[in-house]
Amino acid sequence: MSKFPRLQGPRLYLSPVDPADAEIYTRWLNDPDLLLRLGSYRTLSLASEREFLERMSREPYNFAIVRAGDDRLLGNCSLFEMDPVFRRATCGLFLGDPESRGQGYGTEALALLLIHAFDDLNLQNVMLSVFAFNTPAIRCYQRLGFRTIGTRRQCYFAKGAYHDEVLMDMLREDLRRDLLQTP
Amino acid sequence: MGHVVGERIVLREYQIEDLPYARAWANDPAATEMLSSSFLMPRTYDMTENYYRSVLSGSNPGYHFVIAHRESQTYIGQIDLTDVNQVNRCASLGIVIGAPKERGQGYGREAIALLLGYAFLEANLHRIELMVHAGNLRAIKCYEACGFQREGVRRESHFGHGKYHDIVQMGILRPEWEAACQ
Repeated sequence: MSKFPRLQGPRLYLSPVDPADAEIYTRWLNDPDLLLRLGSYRTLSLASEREFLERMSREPYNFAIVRAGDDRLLGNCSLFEMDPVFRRATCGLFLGDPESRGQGYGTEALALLLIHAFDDLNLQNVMLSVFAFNTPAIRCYQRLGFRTIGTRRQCYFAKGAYHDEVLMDMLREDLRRDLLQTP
Repeated sequence: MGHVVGERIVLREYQIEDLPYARAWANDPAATEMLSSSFLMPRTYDMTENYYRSVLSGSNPGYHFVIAHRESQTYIGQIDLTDVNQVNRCASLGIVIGAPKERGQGYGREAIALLLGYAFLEANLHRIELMVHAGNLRAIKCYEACGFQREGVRRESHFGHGKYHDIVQMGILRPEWEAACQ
């Protein structure tokens, strides 16, 4: 098993990205439903995903989201656009398997990532963007302490219509750390 | 952020034209005996030039400035923040006043004051530290006047003139610097 619990939560852990998982990522990233939420219209080949994962695996702030009990890969999360002087970054995540959604895994993974960002990397502000129609994700981000800082209107075209993008951010003290307590 | 302008001096970018000024002190015992052990051996032209090339090309990590006269922009010395730790927000300070005629006029003190403002207010650092020979009382007095505290002594960690010498570790935190600025 090539999963390594770098950041451990109650039900899942964040592990370094493993390029050997390229096939399962490729399957996920050709799922129209997931692509709609991620805002991509590209068709992704196994070869290019393998290349992409190789590159991601060499960067320090990309993580595979892995379920604790059975080491099952659930998705990915990252910190990017990190500015070392301004102490800010942007975060993103996705859960690939539709069955793993709606169970609080995203909340837990993001909480682990944000604690890493604030407590280990000494960041001050973490931002994210999400499409306005993705209300389950927005509710999850709000629960964690993100607040909406603006809406970029009609900046995304898919399924025959334009969609808004919501920008959200949080400071160190906004993070609801209590969400990580074991239920 | 471009030049850091003070009353009498300016902290400006390294220029290739500064190289002869740096060569003028690179092997002057009065300037180098208080510097790190990389100055133990006579410095070759290539060593100085390679250092300049690395700073000029931007490949040398840290924040590097030449201390120059404000009006003429001519070289007085160099002041650098190295070993920048982006997570701990900490860096090490190094300073040289090159020519003998420029020493003892408070240029170093003015340069450090300018650099601390830059480090805390622009580079968003939290702590600046330095090491100084315990016998270099003039430098220690200058650092203390700039707000640095003595934090400890690395006993007999430097060898020169046939015996071991103590090195003093000094540091200043941003809140201390802010309080001193009030």
